[in-house]
Amino acid sequence: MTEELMLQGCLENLATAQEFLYNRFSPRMLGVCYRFARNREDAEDMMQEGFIKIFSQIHQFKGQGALEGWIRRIIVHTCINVLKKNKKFTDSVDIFHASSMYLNENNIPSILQAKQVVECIRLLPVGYKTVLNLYAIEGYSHKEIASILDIEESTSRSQYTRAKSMLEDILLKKKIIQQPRENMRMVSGTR
Amino acid sequence: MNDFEESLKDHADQFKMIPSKKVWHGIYNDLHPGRRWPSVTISLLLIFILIGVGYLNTHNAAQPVSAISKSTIASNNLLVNPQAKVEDHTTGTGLLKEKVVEKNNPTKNELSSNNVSSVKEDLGSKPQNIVSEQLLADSSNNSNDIHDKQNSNNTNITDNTFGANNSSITNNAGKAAKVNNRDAISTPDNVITSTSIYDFKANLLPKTLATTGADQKQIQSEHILNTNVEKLTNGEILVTNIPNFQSNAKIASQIESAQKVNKSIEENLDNTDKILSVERINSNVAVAKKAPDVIKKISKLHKKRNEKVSWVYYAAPVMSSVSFSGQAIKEAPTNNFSIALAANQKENKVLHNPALGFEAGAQMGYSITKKLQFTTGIHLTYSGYKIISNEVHPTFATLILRDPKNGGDFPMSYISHYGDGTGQTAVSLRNYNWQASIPIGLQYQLGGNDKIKFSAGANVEPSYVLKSEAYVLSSDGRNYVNDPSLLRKWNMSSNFNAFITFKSHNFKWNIGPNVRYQWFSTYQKTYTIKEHLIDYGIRIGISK
Repeated sequence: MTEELMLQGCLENLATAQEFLYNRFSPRMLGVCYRFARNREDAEDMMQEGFIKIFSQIHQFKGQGALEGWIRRIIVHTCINVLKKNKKFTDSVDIFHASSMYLNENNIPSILQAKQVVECIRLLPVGYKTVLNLYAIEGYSHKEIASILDIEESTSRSQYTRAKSMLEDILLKKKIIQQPRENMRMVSGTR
Repeated sequence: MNDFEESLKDHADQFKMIPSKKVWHGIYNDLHPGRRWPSVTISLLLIFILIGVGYLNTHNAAQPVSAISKSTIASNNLLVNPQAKVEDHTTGTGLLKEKVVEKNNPTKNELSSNNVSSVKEDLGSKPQNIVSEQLLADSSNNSNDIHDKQNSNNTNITDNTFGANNSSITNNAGKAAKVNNRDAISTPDNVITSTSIYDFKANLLPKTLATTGADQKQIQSEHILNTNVEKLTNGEILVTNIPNFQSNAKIASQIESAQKVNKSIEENLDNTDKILSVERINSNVAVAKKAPDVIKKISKLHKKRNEKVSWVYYAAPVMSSVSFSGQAIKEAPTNNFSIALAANQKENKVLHNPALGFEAGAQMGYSITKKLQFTTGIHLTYSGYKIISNEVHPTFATLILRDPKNGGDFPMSYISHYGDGTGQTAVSLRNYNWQASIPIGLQYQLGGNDKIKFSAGANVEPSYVLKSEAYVLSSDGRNYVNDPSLLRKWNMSSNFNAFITFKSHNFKWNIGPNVRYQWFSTYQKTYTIKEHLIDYGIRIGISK
């Protein structure tokens, strides 16, 4: 099924087309949700809510840009809204507390590097990982993040810096990255 | 964005997860709320249809006797007091109706040529005679209407029944052949059915045509009479506008023409009356007198037939369990890696619990002897069991299947979300199926009295699997996989039941234990493990 046919079917609320679209994008989108969520169940709930929004708002997609990008933005916004509802994204812990958390964590799988990286991101406190996900992976600017999360722009920057530092430590300790810190250009980007 | 961030983004973007099925089900149910639980809706609909059909059948099965008895009463009424019947269905004046009734009343033997001529005199002397003739036609039409109504109510009266009826009439052919078409309209004989009238006419007319010239004359006059009556019927406006006809020149002219027609009717009546004889009337009366007996015989036949057939509608909550047999095919170790895998294999054991199921249906019983019944009907079953499992991260699982044609083994790979039940995040999977079947069996009354009876029954049920879900253990015994293509579409089951029957509130109730065993495996031959479902339940049946 081509993308055009699939979109046309979704516009007509055809279950087959919807299932096709879901099967095509759900694995990647669940990966996105999983980075924001506490666990798999929460991630699936977020994705379910996100896809319901996608199918109900599919008529708003005008074909400008990639469909995946549009879907991804809706999924990310849904994840943020869920976190906002649960008031989790403002949670923050100091670096010391955070490192004690990840040091005790032995549950990181060691099969695929991508999975390892994601699991390491998930070890971050909710506030940190939300900002890190939005800035470093989803490509939002600090201004946009501040607007989405209802926080100060400076808070977003500082959260990101701390998040990145913490993640770097985790990756080093899990031997996922080998380079010493001084060799990595770890500067907070400005957008 | 620096290298670290780019690397992070790349890694994160590569990460994919396979969502569990419930996510799509949740989305689907949200987007298509009307299609939620389609199988349940269809099943409920089916059950309601079964109950509805059952009720109607029970209702109709009880009706013919009463309907026939009603028609018998009706025919008797017509014989004794035809006026009552005519008054119910005509709209004209009472006086004229009485005359029609007199004309149509053969039991009193008053239908002599004198009587007919007296009617004739009335017809000739009063303008309303037009109406009377019309009423004559109406009464015959109405009587046909009555018969039609009786026929439409008497849905269980078959052609054979009519055949029997006709044969009884044919037995009297010597006499009945003399009955002309006009008599056929009014004699109580025809109360039986309008169909019998038509058959009767069809049988008799050719014979009549072949008979004497007098009869031919009679038929000709009959034809003229009918035509005239039809014409009069078409001029119904004359009847309804009688109070105003004098002021209306057109109506007056119509009356004149009608009077002319009336005269021709009188002439026809003269001819007809000459042909009519008391003997013929008596033969009609004899036939008419036999009619109630015939009807009684028919009702007896029906009663006997209905007594032989009985319908029971039942439902039963069941506890479904399962028995397994056969051996799973294990992967033969060929290298060090597969030896390690083989060592990691678990015993192929499905941890399961019984689950609640349901069955419903309609059973028709046909009495072979007093105690033995042949049974058949429609049966719907929902049965299954629960598997104790646990959620796992999506993982590949292999199922080794066997080609039944050449006996060769081949692997099939699946993505599994469920473990063998030994993990932490416990989850219950449900293997179930919906089956529609046609049970064929026997039922025997073991004992009892008028109030309570003990019976036992057994049947075989060829069944079609309407919907099913089945999780099977992977060949290493570690994960459950779901593959609908492994499931069998047709199956065969046996059903054994014992029950007591008692009457309460005009209904017969059957209550007793019921066991159902599925003969063939739920799965096709490619899957070497055999699964046989067993249902235990308490069947509750109801019948009239």
